This record gives sequence, structure tokens and C-alpha cells, in this order.
Amino acid sequence: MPLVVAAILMTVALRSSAAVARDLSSTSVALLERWNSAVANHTPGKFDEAVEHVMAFSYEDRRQLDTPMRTFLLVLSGAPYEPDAALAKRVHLLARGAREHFGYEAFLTRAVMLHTDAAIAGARTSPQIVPALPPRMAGLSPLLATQRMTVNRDGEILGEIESNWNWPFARSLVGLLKIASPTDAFVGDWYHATAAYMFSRLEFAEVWEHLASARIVLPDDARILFDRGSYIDIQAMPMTQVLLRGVDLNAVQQARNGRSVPRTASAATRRAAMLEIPQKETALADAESLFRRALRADPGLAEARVRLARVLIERGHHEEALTEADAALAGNPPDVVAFYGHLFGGRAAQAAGRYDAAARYFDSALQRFPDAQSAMLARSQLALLRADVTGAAAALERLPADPRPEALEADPWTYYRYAIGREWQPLYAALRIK
Amino acid sequence: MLWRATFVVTSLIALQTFSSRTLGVRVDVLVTDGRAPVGGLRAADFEVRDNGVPQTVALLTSSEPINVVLALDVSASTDGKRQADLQRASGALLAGLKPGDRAALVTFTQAVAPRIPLTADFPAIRASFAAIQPFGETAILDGVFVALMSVQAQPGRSLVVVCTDGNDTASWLSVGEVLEAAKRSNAVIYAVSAVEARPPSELKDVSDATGGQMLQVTASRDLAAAFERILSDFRSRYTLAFTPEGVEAGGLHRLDVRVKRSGLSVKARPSYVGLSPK
Repeated sequence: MPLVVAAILMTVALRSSAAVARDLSSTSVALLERWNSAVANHTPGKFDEAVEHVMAFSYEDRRQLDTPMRTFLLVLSGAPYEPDAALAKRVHLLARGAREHFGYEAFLTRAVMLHTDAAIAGARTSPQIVPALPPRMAGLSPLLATQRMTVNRDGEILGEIESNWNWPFARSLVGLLKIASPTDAFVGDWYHATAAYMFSRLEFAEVWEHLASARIVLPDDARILFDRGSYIDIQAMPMTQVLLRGVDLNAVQQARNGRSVPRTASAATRRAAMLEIPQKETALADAESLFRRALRADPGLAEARVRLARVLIERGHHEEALTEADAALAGNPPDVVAFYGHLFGGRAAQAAGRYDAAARYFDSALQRFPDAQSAMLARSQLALLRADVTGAAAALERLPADPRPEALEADPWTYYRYAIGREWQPLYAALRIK
Repeated sequence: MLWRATFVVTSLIALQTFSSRTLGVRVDVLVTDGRAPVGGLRAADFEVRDNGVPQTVALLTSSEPINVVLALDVSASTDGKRQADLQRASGALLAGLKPGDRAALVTFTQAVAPRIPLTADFPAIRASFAAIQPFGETAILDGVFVALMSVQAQPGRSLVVVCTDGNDTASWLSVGEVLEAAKRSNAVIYAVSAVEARPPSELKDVSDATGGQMLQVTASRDLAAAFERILSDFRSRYTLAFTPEGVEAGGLHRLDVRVKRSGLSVKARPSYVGLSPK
């Protein structure tokens, strides 16, 4: 929650700067100087020395850095501060220099980009998956805030990893930026681009945290509403719902209401109680609401419309789904979005008993992506329903006998679950230019 | 509509499509005494009702060649020992096939691959499977659909053996859509789930819709025994045929198959989709 965190940061800094100054050490101030230098020298988008430097911060380093950071940000913001000791004066000088050279907002933006690049660079090496991480005390400081994330592959729980600390810290800086410059488009652009990056890696635990922050900072931003809707939409899909299979949902609900999980509960139930996975019907209802809000904020958001169509199909509202798919297609959206529009429009039409229309939708999807397995299957199944066995077989003729992983790119359905993640690179490149 | 049973049987063998416009219906039936399949039954031992209306049935020859489609999960989780055990199980099943029988190989991750169409060249199937490098997620329903389609218009009795170690996480087709395909197919689906926790319910639904079964094994080393049992069960099944009488030709037909002898249980498809004649 960046705004809350930011408010806490400022409050702590203003109220107890003297106490903070007493806690300063030469180590902590030296760490701050190195961090300041990294922010100043970093080229956004490059995995340079500055990024390596930040990535090397240990938990202890960050604990040390936490104390002078509060004072530094206070001075950087331009708030009055009278240092009363030598170490405090070093912090004061450093912050004043950063403010004079870059300005408050520009320095914060540079710092956000540095930690974003560090988070992305850190993800290049696979984190160690362990059966269970020890619980860590939740602190107020965004420099020390990490979370345990459960890793699953194809419905099988592999273990836990620790989230990257750069994300919550970057979010807290973005929160400060939002306070300093409420209309700065960078904040919305950053949340959307970085959420896209997280989607692209299927890091749903991180996306959830990220969008929970974005929701507070930008409650009515169409892109954030769309991202949130996409996240919930994916929660309703089998790839996520499979984690609730065989689970005592009443026990899970009790646990979420603060009660303990019964001792007799299965391992799957205990695990599910720790995961933030809504039940399918709840998720679909929430996703529908978010997509509708996104469309009220920006009626031209075609992908929100096609995703809304999919959700409506899942909820059994086929005619409404068809209306949304048609509305999205009328705007001549990009190929991938048009593919989804045709695929979902076809399914909605088929479910409504309009087989000729369904065939046209599926054929249009195949015109855009001739090797898309999903559209071939849809076309084949429809032909079978119409007793056209020859047509059903013909629709599958292009299925490759020996598909390679890269062949999955031929079918946008296979990356529907990545949501806007498929566009994270251009979104992030645009952010760097700004 | 006064076709004689012999004519129906002849036309069925010639066309072999469940939803054919000849109005012939065939039903694969497994009869057990609670432990093992029961043989030696005659047509007169069976009672078949189509939408509640008794039908006159014929018993097709049990020595008819069979088609077997292996629909195998090769997602990332099968890499290593599971894949080796699956390879052995497939080999054991193929070794049990007789001259005239044919087999096909369909694999699925997110990507469904119709690797080898129906063939008597079983070494080609073994070689194809051995060369597969597992990757990706699991689209069971999509895989089942393609497997059903691979025998949709083929002569002979058809068995689809689906094997997975996971749950469906990636299919485009819904369970309802695959059930619709299953009701229009003559094939019998036997599914083997090597999931340690709860097996995929959609797989059981689809198997039941064809009169097949779902087996669960707790360790992948047990797959070979499961595959051999499936082939043995399938060979022990009876194939009944009838021309629907006293019912509308089109739409969903509820099927009720019983054996007149007591103490025996019957497993057969609960319904089929009929087509109106042109």
C-alpha cells in the first residue's frame, strides 16, 4: 500500500528525526551513499553496475539502510531538517545534493527505475525453491518487506520462494511520487508496465500485491481496473482453480475469517487456506465487475471487452457475451484481441444454438491465426455437433504431429493467462524513455 | 423401419460410425460378476431400452479387430521416471494387440499432437513416444477430443486409453463440449489417473459417458498392469447393435442396458446422440 507506506515514512521521518539520527551508524550512512550513487548513475533499462550493486544488498544491508533512508527522503522532499550530529549532516548533504541536482520527483523516478530493473534482473536467476520458508516478522519498512510465495507447476505445488524486496520498495517510492505529483502519468504507466512484467512470468502472488497497491493509488484508472480484472479472471481458470480441488472450502473460509484450520483437515486444505485463491463463481463475479468498471472508465478498451465476454460465457450469459465480443470486434482491435473476440464470440454463439454464426467466428479466428489449436478444436467440435464428421476431421488437419514449445505462440489462447504480460516489453521500453 | 437385424449388422460393419444416418446404434458393454468379466452371453441375455422403449438387439462378433488410441500426457511433470513407466505401459498394451488390430498415438501438453494415425506399425508408435521430450502444461480435455476424432470414422471397435498424472490446466474445450463429442462417438474411453490426490473428475465424466472407466494408480510403476487390464477388459466386452424402434431418431437418447441373469453388473454408455434421417 504505497500511500499508506509513504505516509508512514513521512510521519516517522518528521516526528522522530532526532531519534533516527541517534540510530545512524557509519555503516548505514555509507550504504546510503552507495545507494544514492547507484540511483544517480543508473541508466534505466540497463543491467549496469548500479543494478548489480543494489541486487547485492543483503537483508542486513537493507536493515542498516532503512534508518538513514527515512531522513534522506525527508530532506529530498524539501521538508525542513536540522541535523544535529556528523552522520546526520552527511545524510542531509547527500539528500540536498540529490534534490539540487535532480529534483525530488526526478530522483524518485530514477530510484523507482533502478529498483524495477534490479527486480527484473534478479528474476534472471531462478530463486531457490524450498518446501517451506520460515515466517518473517512483517515490518512497516518497505525496504524489509518480503513475502512467501507458493510455487506451483501445472497444478503441482513445488514449494516456496521469497519475493523480491525491490518491488515493495519501488512501490513505496512510487507512492511518494504520487503524493508529490498527483497527476504524473508515470505512476499509472509504471504500475501497468510492471504488472505486465509480472503477468508475463505468471508471478500471481506478486501481481496480487502489486495491484492491491495500485488499487489504492489509482482506484479509477482504466488500465489498473483492467489488470485487476485480468488477474481475477485468471484466478477463475482451471490452472488456478485446480489448487482448490479436493479442498474443504468451508475450512478455508474459516481460516480466512481468522479461525484456525481443523487439525483433521487435509494437506491440500491447509495449503489452500494460505493461498489467496477465490472460488470460481466469486472470481467470475469480481472479474465481471472490474471489467465493467474499466470499460466505464475507457469504453475503447477492447481487450477488457473480450475478456468480459469470456467471463460472461463462463457465467452462462451467452447473448450478453456475444454483444461484448461484437462491440470489441467493431473497433478493429489488434490481431490477438480480435482472435479472442472471434474465439469467444464463436463459443457464445454456439452455446446460444447459433451454429452458422459460431462457424463464422471460428473461421475468422483461424484466418488471423491459422495454426491456433484452440480455434481448430472449436471448429472441429462445432462440426461434430452438426454431424459433419468429415468437416470435424478436416478442422484438425493442421495440428502438428510433433509440436515444439515455440509452436504454442501460434495460438493466442495458450497465452491468454499471461494477460497484458504479452506486451510487457514495449510497455516497459516506453516507460524507460519517459 | 422394419429392417431385419442381419441387415442392420451388415450396414453397421460397413459404416462403423456411431452417428451415421443409417440409424444403426452399437453399444459396447462390459459385463462382470463383480470381480471379473463374464463371457459366453448371447444377444437374448441382454435387454436394451432406448428412451425407455425395449429394442431388438444383435450381438456383433467379439473377434472383430480393434483400434486403440493411446492418448498420453507428456507435460513437464511426466519427465523422468513417470515417462519411462508410461513408455513401458504403452509397450505392454501394444504387445497385447493381435493381427488386424491397429493403434494410434496422441499426446498432449497444452499442445495436442496427433503423432501417429491408426496403424499396425506398432514399433513406429514405440519409437515416436520414446523420442518425446516432455514440456508444458496439461490439456486433458483437448487431448481426449483429438483422440476421439482420430477414430471417429474408422471401422472396428475403438478403445481410447487416456493417461495423465495431473489435472487439466490448459484446455480450450470445456468438459461439456467434450462430453458432447463423446456421446457422438462409438469409442470407449478408459482413463488412467496417476494423480496422488484427487483425480480429475472431468475425466471420469467423459469415461462414464462412453461406458468406459477411470482407473487410479498410486504409483507410475503400476501403469503397465493398468494398461494390460484395460485391454483385457475391452476384449471381454460385448458389442450390441440395434436399429431404434418406437423412438424419434434425432436428439439425445437415454440408453439402459441390462443383463437378464441375476448377480451380474453392466457397464455401458448411458446415452447416445441420434440423427434424423435425411
